[in-house]
Amino acid sequence: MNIDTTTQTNTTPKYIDKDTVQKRMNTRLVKNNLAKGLFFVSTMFGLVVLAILIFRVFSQGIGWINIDFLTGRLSNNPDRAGIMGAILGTLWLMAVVAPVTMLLGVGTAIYLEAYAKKGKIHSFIQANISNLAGVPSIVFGILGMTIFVRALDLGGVVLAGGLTMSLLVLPIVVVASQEAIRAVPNHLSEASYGMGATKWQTIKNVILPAALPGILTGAILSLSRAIGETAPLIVIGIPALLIPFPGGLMDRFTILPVQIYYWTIDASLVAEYANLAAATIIVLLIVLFILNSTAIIIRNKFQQRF
Amino acid sequence: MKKFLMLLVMAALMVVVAACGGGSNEPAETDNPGSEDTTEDNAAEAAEDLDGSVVVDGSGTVYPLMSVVAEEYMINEQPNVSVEVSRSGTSAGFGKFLVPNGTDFNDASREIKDEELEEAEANGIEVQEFKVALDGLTFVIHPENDWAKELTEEELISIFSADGGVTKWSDIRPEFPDEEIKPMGPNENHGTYEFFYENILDKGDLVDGVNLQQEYSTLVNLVAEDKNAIAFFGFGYYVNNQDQIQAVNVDFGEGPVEPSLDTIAEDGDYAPFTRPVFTYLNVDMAKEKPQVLDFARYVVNNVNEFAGETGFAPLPESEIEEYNSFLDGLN
Amino acid sequence: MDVNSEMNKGNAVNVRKMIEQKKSSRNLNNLIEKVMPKLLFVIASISILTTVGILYTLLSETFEFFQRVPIVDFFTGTVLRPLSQDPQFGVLPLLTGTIISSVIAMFVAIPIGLMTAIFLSEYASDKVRRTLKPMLEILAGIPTIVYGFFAFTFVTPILRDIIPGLQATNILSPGIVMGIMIIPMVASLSEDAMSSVPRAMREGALALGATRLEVTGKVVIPAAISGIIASFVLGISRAIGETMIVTIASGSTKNFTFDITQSMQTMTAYIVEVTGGDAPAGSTIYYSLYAVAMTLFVFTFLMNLLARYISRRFREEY
Repeated sequence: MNIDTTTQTNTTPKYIDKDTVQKRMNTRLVKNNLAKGLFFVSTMFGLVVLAILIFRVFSQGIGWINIDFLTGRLSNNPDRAGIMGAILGTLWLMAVVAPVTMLLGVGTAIYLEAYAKKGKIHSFIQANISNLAGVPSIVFGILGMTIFVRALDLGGVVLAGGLTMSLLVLPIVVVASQEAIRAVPNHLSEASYGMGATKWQTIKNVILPAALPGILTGAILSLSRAIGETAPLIVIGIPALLIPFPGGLMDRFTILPVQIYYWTIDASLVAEYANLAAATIIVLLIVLFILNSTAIIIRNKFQQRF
Repeated sequence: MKKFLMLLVMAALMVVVAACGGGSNEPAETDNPGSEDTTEDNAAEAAEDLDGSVVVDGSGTVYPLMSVVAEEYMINEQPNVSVEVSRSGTSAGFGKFLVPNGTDFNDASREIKDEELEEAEANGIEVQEFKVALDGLTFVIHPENDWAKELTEEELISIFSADGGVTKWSDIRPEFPDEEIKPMGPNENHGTYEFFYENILDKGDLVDGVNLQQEYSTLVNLVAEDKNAIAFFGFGYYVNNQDQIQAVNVDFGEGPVEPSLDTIAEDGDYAPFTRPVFTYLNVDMAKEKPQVLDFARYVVNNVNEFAGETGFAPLPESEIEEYNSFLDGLN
Repeated sequence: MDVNSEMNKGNAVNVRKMIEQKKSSRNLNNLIEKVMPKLLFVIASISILTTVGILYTLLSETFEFFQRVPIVDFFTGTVLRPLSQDPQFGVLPLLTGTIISSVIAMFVAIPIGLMTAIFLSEYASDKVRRTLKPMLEILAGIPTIVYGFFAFTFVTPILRDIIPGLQATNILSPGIVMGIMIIPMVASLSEDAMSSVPRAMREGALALGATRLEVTGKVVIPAAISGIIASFVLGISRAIGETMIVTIASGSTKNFTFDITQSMQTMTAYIVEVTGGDAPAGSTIYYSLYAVAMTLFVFTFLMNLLARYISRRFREEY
């Protein structure tokens, strides 16, 4: 957008010297353009780093990805090692996190948006959720270790890891669901009440279906956060070598990020582990990409325009 | 309709999980041409199918060996037994081993301490020690370090000891460079540290400014980049990184000895810095759980097969027989 | 609720039956209406229970720790040797490691994040913004373990070519990579704050002949300053709580130093090291875990409160 630089001619040239104004204007415009360039370069910096990171990981790991690697069991021998166990562990973790966060997250959101009286309790829960969102993930790990692993004596199993992760990502689902519920226009629920429906019927039959895309988007995003977190699970305790596949909620398990962690720090033991770590990163990034794309597609496809 | 599609997406996800989780216990298929079958025909070995889990924790020095043994066991012996191997360090591992319902095995790069034995007694846990291999405490330096390739035992000790009075290389021998020495090693979590502290420094204080690390990989990197660094750890970590670091040949009074699988032995030339590494078995668990006993047998009889490739020297046969008779007595 | 489609059958319908049906379903509905709010309240209180659980576990074990190690020694000690024969528990090495790595991260994230926000909010066309923003979001969505791998295997070797004397594990490399990770967070929060400045204010300045740069510097940033500062504070809080990058790339030396070429340990990395799977319960080192976690929690909590306070306190009402 160009600024019109012609200044109004004044009958008293004493006050405004056109030349000076013109000169100053030029330097100001040059400064503006320089700054614009700088801001653009800054914006690109992050993207360039992203490109380097992805290129680097792919060039290091892509040669190690084959069907045996994807379906094989973990091994000390890099030529034989596979990550099926970590992939299954990741899926099992999702199988716990998805239903638990949906139930807790959506329930909390409905309570806050439809039932809680605007007042002390409401703002307390709301503040509490935004605080939880800012708690470092490792603290959730300690909570999980103390309560699920030790006090409830579950050990480092899928269920303990899943519950810990559920609490960690709960704020994401709550906030996304709240926004989705808030975005449902009032006239829909008014119409429902007008037809004689009760409050719960209105929520169940009108508000939730309308808010579902937003809620699902939040749920999927929270899943992708949960399977990318490493620290809480390391605190909970995942064995460095675990060959059998997890087959249930009470089995020990490992997940992709933890496998990456062990292979990265063990690279000095066996140099090829660094390449295995890179290959595992590729798999993890692809899984996350699929999840996030799904979320975006849902958001765009099913977003009802009211 | 839209709702239905959404549910379909979620349902698909769940089905995938369930389907994958269902067939989780099929035997591991392996195709490894490189290694021959390593099962020993042991008369006492029950050829029954076992299942359940065996939990191993402890030393990071022993980890490479135990994890290979565990893997071979699961592939060749008992595909339905899950042996989980972790490595939180010898001391931290004992902390988890000496509690009711603790771990089944604890790997250790030092002998169990008296106070740990007392703790075992207090908790009513019967513990059995097994040596699994011999390890040589190896001192490593930067590959371009051309002055400290051969050091005497006393010189090495003076570098790490608080009252050694050595801060620069030139303090050791005048012809060495006038540069500050950077001593490093594994931290107190590791049995390697304790072996060094108790058996070599004789419980003397370590020099100020010694850089102690939790991860061996970090130590390797630190030495690989600093010409004035010197670190110690188990022989295996040196063997795996010979391209980045070199070992100091130690003179125990009869000329410099290179640490190698030939010299590391209880009566070898490298004997003063040779130590056994162990795994400790919770005997009650072995009596209770057949898979624990079975794995203990497998470890005792096969550990020498894998010692070399993981940087350890093998045990004498006599010790292995002794352990076998002990295990037979548990039935 | 299904609308009764029997209406069109007219008189053939047994009205009494319908009333009965209606009554019984109403009873059930009433029950649902009564139970639902209570049930939802119970669900909503789980999030409060989580906070209570965090506070309770941290506080009770921290209390136990301070029974064994005087609180003054903990907060003023410059030596941390949790496993030695005479253990010393000074938290200062961890605090310096945490603060230094966060400061390095903010040196990267604040200028670049802010300039990115200005570009997206004030200079970029709609189309450009819609392309660039999601790409930046990808940066935020990459798991931290991947950044850790990147810092350790890529950034550190490059830095060591540039800076002689840089250790293989050092605080500089994870600090920089952490900063890169936080750029999108600072950028998007700052951009939100700037975008909420009313158009009229910009138009007014532009009409008086100001350049875009002057509008940004003299109108938009002052108006959005509370949101921008809040984004910085939240960024710092994020850096303090970050775990995997520093665990992998900064080593575990408990140095009390301000030399960024050295390895240092942060509070988060200490927790990872000590748990190492599962710390033996009941030992002093086990309790130290909670004391460190408590310190970390208080730090980040105060930062988050501060961010909220700033954005509320200095928000300009238009």
